[in-house]
Amino acid sequence: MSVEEYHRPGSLDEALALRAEHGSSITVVSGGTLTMPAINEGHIFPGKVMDLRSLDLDFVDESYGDLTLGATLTYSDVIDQVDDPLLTTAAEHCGSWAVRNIGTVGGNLFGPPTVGDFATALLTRDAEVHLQSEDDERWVHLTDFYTGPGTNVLEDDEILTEIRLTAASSDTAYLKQTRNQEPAPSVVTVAANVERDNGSVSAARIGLNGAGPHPVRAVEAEQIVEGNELSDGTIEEAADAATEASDPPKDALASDWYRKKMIGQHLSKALAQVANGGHA
Amino acid sequence: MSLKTIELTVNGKDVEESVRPMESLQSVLRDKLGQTDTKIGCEQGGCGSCTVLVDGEPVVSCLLPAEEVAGEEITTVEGLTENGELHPLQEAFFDNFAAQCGYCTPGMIMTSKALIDRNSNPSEDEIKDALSGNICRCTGYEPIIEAVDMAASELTSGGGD
Repeated sequence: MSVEEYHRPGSLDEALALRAEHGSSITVVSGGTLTMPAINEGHIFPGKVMDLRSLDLDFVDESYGDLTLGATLTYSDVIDQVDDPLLTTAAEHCGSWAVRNIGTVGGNLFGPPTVGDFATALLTRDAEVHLQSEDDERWVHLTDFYTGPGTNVLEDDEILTEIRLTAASSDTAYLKQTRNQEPAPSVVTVAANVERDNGSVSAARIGLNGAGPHPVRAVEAEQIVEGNELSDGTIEEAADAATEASDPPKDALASDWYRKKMIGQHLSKALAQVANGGHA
Repeated sequence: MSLKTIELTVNGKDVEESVRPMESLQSVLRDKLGQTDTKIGCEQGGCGSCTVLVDGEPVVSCLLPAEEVAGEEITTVEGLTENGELHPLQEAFFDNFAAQCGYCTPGMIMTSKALIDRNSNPSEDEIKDALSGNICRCTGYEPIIEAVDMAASELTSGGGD
């Protein structure tokens, strides 16, 4: 069975009306790089699909001090238009050139557990997502957006329209481990965004992919490094804490046991990179 | 299910075609327009064999609904040939034995075209990076990388395009 209705609304109002009318029975796509493969493979048979690409949500807005990315901004758009090493590095790791030209930052938030490589970077920037319906709108922290593997707080009448981020600090790192040479899915991805004051960490945000049912913050590791210098001992303690707190998925790429080992390894490398003044 | 008529520009030629809801560009190119130079591989966006250019940008045509590119300039590998003359990239692939079974070749050439349009003198690493989404199971990649380098040199020295 193929797609019966393919809607390409030309305005947000039209899109929200469609969403209100059809609810969960309409599949919403942003870039389609998750949905089209599933349709091609015969894994899903969505009767109705709504494509957001004609809504002019492919914008970058820095006018209010924060950085706001429209949901349909592609990874290539991020690389070309956003002056932010952590985000551009993350975007470069989201598939091949020909896929990055289609896949979007909004769509990345709806992937299965190991597809959140851009979201992992967003978590280090206290990202919030804007969820809009015909009658209401709300901002939700990305940490509160996910509710489980492939599930989230989006209501059946809502559309995710934009993502708002805080400014990056100068010390960042981004590491992605794959089984094969990239482009390839993540075994483990680590993103770090660290502010330091005279060598001591004043604020740390660490995002992990492959450490839980969706991209997560390594809160335990953040608490260990905050207030301390990034010494070898502190880094080891933080890596151990992140490893202990993780609950990785297991799939054809890697076992949960292996991912748990790799989380500590890659977090150590990322924090050492930050300690040495590197950036993503 | 209702068909929708869309207008496409493929290799400089304007065409009208009826498409199914969300039908992929790859399907329309091959099955409706007879452009079998664009290959079907994984249909997951993972192999790059269906790569075409949309307004000069490489895209995997298996993941892109044809309706999304209505009115935009679509270029397939056949569109690189002018007046029966092969493009320097096609010549270089031939000269370097960069095509064995040939199935990946159209996608390889289209991604390479996008690369050298942006970077007339790409390094080996830049070629490898650009082609990282195009999989070849025959050549071992070395002849392909050499072919792209040769074509870039040919074009830079004024040999065509």
